[in-house]
Amino acid sequence: MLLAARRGGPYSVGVNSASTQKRVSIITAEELLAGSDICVQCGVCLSVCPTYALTGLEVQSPRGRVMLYRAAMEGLTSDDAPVLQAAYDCLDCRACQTVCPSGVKPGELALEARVGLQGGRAHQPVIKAMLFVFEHPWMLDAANWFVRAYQGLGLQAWMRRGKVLEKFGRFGRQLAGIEALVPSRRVHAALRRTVAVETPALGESRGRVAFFLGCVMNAVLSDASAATLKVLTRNGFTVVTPHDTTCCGAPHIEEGELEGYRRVARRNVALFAGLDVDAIVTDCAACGAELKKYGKALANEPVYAERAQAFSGKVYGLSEFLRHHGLRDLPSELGAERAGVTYQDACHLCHGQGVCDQPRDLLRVNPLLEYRELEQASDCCGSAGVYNVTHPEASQAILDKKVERVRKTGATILAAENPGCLLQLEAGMRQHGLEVEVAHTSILLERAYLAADAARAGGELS
Amino acid sequence: MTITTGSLLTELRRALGEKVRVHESETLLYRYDAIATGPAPLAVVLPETAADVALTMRLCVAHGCPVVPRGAASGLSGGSVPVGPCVTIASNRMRGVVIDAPNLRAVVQPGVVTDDLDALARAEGLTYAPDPASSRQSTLGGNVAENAGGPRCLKRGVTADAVLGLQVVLADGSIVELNRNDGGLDLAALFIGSEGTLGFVTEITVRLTPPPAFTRTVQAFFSSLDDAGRAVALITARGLTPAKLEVMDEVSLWAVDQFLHLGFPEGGKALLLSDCDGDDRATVDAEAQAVLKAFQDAGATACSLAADAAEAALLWRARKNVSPALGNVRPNRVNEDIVVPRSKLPAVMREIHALAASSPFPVAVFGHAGDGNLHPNILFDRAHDDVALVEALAHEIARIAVRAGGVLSGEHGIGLTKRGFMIEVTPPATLAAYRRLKDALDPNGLLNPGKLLPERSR
Repeated sequence: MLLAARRGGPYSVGVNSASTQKRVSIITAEELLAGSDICVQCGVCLSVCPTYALTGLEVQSPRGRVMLYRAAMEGLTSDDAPVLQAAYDCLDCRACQTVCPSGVKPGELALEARVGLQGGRAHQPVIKAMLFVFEHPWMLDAANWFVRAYQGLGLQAWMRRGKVLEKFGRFGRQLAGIEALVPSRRVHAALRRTVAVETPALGESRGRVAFFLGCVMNAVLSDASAATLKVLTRNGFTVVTPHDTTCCGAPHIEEGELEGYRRVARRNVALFAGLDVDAIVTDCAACGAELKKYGKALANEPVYAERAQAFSGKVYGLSEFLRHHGLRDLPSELGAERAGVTYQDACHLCHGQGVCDQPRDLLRVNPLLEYRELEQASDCCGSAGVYNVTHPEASQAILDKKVERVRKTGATILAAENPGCLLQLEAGMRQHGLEVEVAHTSILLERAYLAADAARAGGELS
Repeated sequence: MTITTGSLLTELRRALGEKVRVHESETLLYRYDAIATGPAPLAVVLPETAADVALTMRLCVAHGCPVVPRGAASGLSGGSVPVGPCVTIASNRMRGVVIDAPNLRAVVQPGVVTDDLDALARAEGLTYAPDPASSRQSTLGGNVAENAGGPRCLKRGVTADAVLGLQVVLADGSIVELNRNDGGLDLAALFIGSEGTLGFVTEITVRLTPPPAFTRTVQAFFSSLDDAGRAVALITARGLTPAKLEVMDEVSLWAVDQFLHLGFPEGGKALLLSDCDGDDRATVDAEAQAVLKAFQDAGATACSLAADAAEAALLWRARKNVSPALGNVRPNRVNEDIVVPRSKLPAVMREIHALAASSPFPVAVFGHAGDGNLHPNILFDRAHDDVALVEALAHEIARIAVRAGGVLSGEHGIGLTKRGFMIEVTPPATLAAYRRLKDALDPNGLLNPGKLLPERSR
């Protein structure tokens, strides 16, 4: 019987450290042990974890998961399956990382565990197919075409009205869950096919930026990214949008596919390295979080290390960038009726990058909006990558609570800065019959700019 | 009596189904709290009602199996850590709350998180007074088990002062209602601070109070820990009753400064931070001024009175970040919890300081100076340091407190980490009385064995 103060304090007899390094790579074992060693089991993370709030189980808490990875690496348990399951049950929302007083990163350790316990490769055919699509931009353009046809031909309306998919038993209901994530408002043509490689700044130039067009933004939210481009150019930035931008690698690393992740990272670093730009801007929070980590991810690669470091140093989220440089030519008052707007923090923007105030600031100065804070705005919406597909009940339970809080604000617009969140939230509003427009802050900004243009043209503004 | 594990687990699962967790990937995670680690329990039960708890208790006792209670396991004395084969009863799914605002009380299940209760109370214009530092995650059940305190307890009392009644499941599976105001015996008092050794609390009725209308925050730096100690003694001597009075020593200040870069004044070797509150603005202001004067009379080198809530929050930031800051100084620490009479504070602080100066380890002292409850923290690195020396230093510090007429635990509890001291400091007749009560309520010695009461000598 071992009676030990954690980490071998005064009451310690010693911790059993039989190695399990045959099962996982040395790197993973080291990462998981080092990452968990700083945990003092204080339990503050329990107060912000969505899965712990739902279940009350220690294994569904950040502390529990970290201690499980540690126990596995120390040889206290030899069954990997529950450890891998725990790593997948984690939303990787990183709310825990924001509050941990010791600097433990349970979200990132979950990804490390997914990589390490699966030998660094994704194995399931469905996952591999998904990653294949993400790595080939033309396939996302094709997906965009199919969604537009699906909507345009009235198929979507028919499917949803008749609840067609739900009639096909459990599998049908699962498909219905995925279908629910397709936006009901009209999807615009894939931006990647229509955008110019270089879009010049309007008015006095303030610099040149590259725009990282994310996969899902391109596939179903191109109108938001188009608005992003317009807002950037109105603010005096020439925008370079490389057509060969590849997936940022978030889906890969989330599925333990380390090699694929490194491959796309290298591709993107090489593609953007030659561009003469002051910054790399993205309107997708998940992409931004990954791009900022390329420096660390490729630190050991002789050819790419330095460029990856330079790359990551230039990455900004849209609101982060605009707030840093200041919005230009946006009047603070237009005499228009202001719509109530509230804001959902994207986990990978707020917890992942520390960008929490800037999006709110931009909403506050928008002359068409009246800002209201959402209760527990930085709690995950339940999208979490493909969590809403892999863990539909938990995701729905989280979403239901979120929708209730949105309802309480009385706002008619809900803003967010990540495609996964936007799709999940839109599905939630629809499910609960809430008449709330879910929109990227870029769309709301461009709307304000257009209103300002109209006012100027009508002589209402000096 | 040996535990008939196989049939126990079978019967538990038959009765409670999914509420019983037995896979090692889960049970391993119930072997630690925030200070100690033990063996994994045989099973973890997550009851939802008192009936679930009673059923679990009856089955465990019938099979000779010890029962260990657990809330958020944020405890600092090993209270929820198993010492051998056992069943852990975890309260995390017992989260019911009923706020009875007109009667200034609430009825809560033991798994309710302290901050969540306070938030619900505030929605009704009331507050739950005890504020342990772990309030974001600690549970009411845990608070009752350890009789938790916190900075606010100086003026508003500890958990025991906020409990109006308990519902407890005893070792024989009976569920008893203990109302502290029904004119009978105050049995509830026995359970508060009993660390799960006398029964499992399944419902707690607590007092809620209106929050004070005004608060003023006063801060002072001193050139010695001694002077800070004298300031605290002076405040008590002058009959002042601040709501909070916290101390931080040189090591704590240095650690926080490294961590947050708040820019402390040069030569500041100790800090006192105090809140005065009340419902009359003039009285609160006057008290704050009096506290400020006491600080100055004791030799404060720099003082400030916060002008508004934002400034006050900034002042409190240092005190609230001591724990994570210390984690940056050395990776490991022993977090002690001693109480001494306030008049003895200067002498005790001087002695601890001297002891620390002659030891190889940095010792940070901070805590609730207002009621003499200090947390000396011995900082070390188990990779390089001799842990036996750390333990010896911890014992010495505890003895300083006892010699000054103090006690071993202000708020963290005795648990398993301080049991050894109990024999040193508790008179034999008192210990015998404790044991008679324990035997009456737990004849088979199955309720959280290895905690609080020392082993009987044979």
